[in-house]
Amino acid sequence: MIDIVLLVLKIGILVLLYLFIWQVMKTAVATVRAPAGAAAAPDVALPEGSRPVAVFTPAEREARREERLTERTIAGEKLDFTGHIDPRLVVERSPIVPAGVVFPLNGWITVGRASSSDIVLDEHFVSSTHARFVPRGSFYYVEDLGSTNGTFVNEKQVSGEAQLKLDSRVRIGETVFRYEE
Amino acid sequence: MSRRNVELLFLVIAGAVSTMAYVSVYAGRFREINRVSIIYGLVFVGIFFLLHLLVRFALPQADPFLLPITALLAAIGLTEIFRIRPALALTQGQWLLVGAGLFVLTVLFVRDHMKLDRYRYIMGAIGLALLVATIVLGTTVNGSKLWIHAFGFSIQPSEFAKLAIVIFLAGYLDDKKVLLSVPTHHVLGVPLPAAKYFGPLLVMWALSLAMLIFMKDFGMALLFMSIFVALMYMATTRIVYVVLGGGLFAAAAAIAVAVVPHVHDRFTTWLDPWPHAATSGYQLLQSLFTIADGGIVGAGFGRGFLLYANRQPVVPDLQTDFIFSAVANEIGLLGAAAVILLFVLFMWRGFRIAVWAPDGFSKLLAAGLAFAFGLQTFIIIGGVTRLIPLTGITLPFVSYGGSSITANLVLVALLLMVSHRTNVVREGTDLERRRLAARG
Repeated sequence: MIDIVLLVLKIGILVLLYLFIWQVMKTAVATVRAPAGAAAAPDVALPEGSRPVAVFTPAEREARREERLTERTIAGEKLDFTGHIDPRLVVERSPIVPAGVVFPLNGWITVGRASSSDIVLDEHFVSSTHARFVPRGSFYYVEDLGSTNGTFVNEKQVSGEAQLKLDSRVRIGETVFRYEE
Repeated sequence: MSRRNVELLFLVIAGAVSTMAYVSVYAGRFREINRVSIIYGLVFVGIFFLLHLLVRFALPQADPFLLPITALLAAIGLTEIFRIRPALALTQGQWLLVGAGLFVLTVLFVRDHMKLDRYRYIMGAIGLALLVATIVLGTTVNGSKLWIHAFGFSIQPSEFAKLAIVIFLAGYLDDKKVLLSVPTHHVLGVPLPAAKYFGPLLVMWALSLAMLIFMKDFGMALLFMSIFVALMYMATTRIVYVVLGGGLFAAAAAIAVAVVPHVHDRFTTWLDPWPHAATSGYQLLQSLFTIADGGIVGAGFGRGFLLYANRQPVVPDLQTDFIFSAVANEIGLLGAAAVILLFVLFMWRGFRIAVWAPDGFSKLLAAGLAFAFGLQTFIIIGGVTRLIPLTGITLPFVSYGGSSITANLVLVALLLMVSHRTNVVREGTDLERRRLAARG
C-alpha cells in the first residue's frame, strides 16, 4: 500500500515540477508581449513623444539637484562672479534650440544628451554627459567630459578645458553657443 | 489575472510539491502517512503565503514568478535536508523564518530600491568590511576561510557582502559609466579610463584577489571577480574589460593552483579524480556515483541511497555543497533537470526585470543580482558534476546554510522591488505612481 503511495508521490512530484515550469514559461511569455509600449527602456533621453514617464517626481528631482550642488561645493570650487556682470551663453545656430535663446551661466552648468544635464542637447553628436561650464577665479572655463565628438572653442578642439573670452564660439555637436558677459 | 493572483496560483503548485515531497520522505522513513507530516508541509507553505500577502500589500506590481520559484527551490532543499539529517532540517526551517523576517524588513524599510542608490558608498564599505572581517576573524573550515563564529552562530559574511557589493557597483557604475567608457590613456596597448574613476574598482578587484589568497576560496573569489567584470561590461559595453578581467583571473588562478596546496588539490582532483579516489577525490567521486545512481527518474524523495546503515551520508557535506547530488539521486535526471530549469527561470526573470527597468541603477542592480545568483548556481552545480573544479559554495535556497538562505531571500526582495517600480512606472495607475514617488 505505502509503496504505491510513494510511487504515486514520486511521479506526481515530477509531473507537478514540469507543470510548474511549463506554466511559468507559458504565462511569462504571454505577458512578455502584453505591456503597452514596453520597448527596452533607453538610458539616454528619447526625443519627445516616446519619452517614458518621469522616474522622479519634481520633489525628488529637486533633492537630487541639491545633492549635486553640495557635491560641487565640496569639490572646492569657489564661485567668484565679481569680475563678471552676467555670464551667459547665446545660441547662434542649432538644429534643436532656436537661435537667440539665452542660457544664463550660474555655477556649474553641464551640457549633454542626458535628461539630467542642465542644458539638454538631444542630438546625435552630443554625448550623454558632454561638457560643462565651470567658473574659476573670474573666468568661465569649458571642460570636455570625454565626449565622443569633442567640444570646440572657436573651432579649436578643447583638450581638457579652455578659458572662455568674450564672444568665444563654443560648438558642441552641431550647436554653436556665443559666450557673453 | 492580476500579477498577485498568478503568484498565488504558482505558490499553490509549489506548496503541493513541497507537501508531497515531505510526505514522501516521511513515508519512506516511517512507512506511514500521518497528519504531522502533512501539517509540516503546510507550515512551510504558510511562510511563503505570508510573504505573498506582504508582496500583495507592499509591492503589488512586482514580478509574479520569483516568489513561487524561490518557494519551490526552498521546498526541495528543506525536504532533502530533512531526508539526510532530520535535526538540521529544523535549524534550516528556523533560518528560513529568519530569512523571511529579513525579507519582510527589507520590503518594509527599504520600500524602494532607489533609496539604496543614495547609500551606495556605505553599501560598498559594508561589503568591504564584511570581506575584510572574514579574512581577519574567519575560521578555517575544509581548508577555506569563509566563516565567522559569533554569538553561537556561524555566519558566512560573503553571502551578504555579495548583495552589498552588487548594490555599490550598480550605483557607482551607473554614475560613472560615461567616464569609464572613455579611455584617457593606454597601458600596454590596453585602453584605460581615468584612474580617478577606475580606482575604486581596482580596489574591489584587488580584494577579490586577496580573498583568493587569504581565504583560499576559489568559488567566492571567482564569484566576486565575475560580478565585478559583468557589471563593468554591462555598464560600459566595453568588451576589453571582460577580456582583461578574465585574463587577470586566469593568471591569478594559475598562480593559486601552483602555490596554494588546497587549491592545487582541488584542481588535480578535477582533472583526474581516480588516482585520489581514497583521499581528496573521494568526495567528488562519491558525488558522481550518487548522481549516476539516480537514473532517469530516481527512486523518489526519501527512497534514494543517500545514507549508509550508520546514518552517515554517502557523500561528505551532502546537505551543503553536494545537495544537488542528493536531489539528482532521489528524483533522477528528470528532477535534476527540472531543478536546473527552475534556476534558469529565476535568472531569466531577473534579467527580464533588468531589461525593462526604467533607469540605469535599477538595470545594473537587477542584472547584477541575477548574474550573481546564476553564476553561484553554475559554480556549485558545475563543481559537483565535475564540469569545473569543485569549490565550496552554497546552492542558493537549496543548500543547508543560514547565511545563504537569508541573503538570497533579501536578493529576491530587491529584485521584486525593482520589478515593482518598473511596472508602476511603465503601466501603473496614477495612484500607484504617486505612492511610489512618496516612498523615495
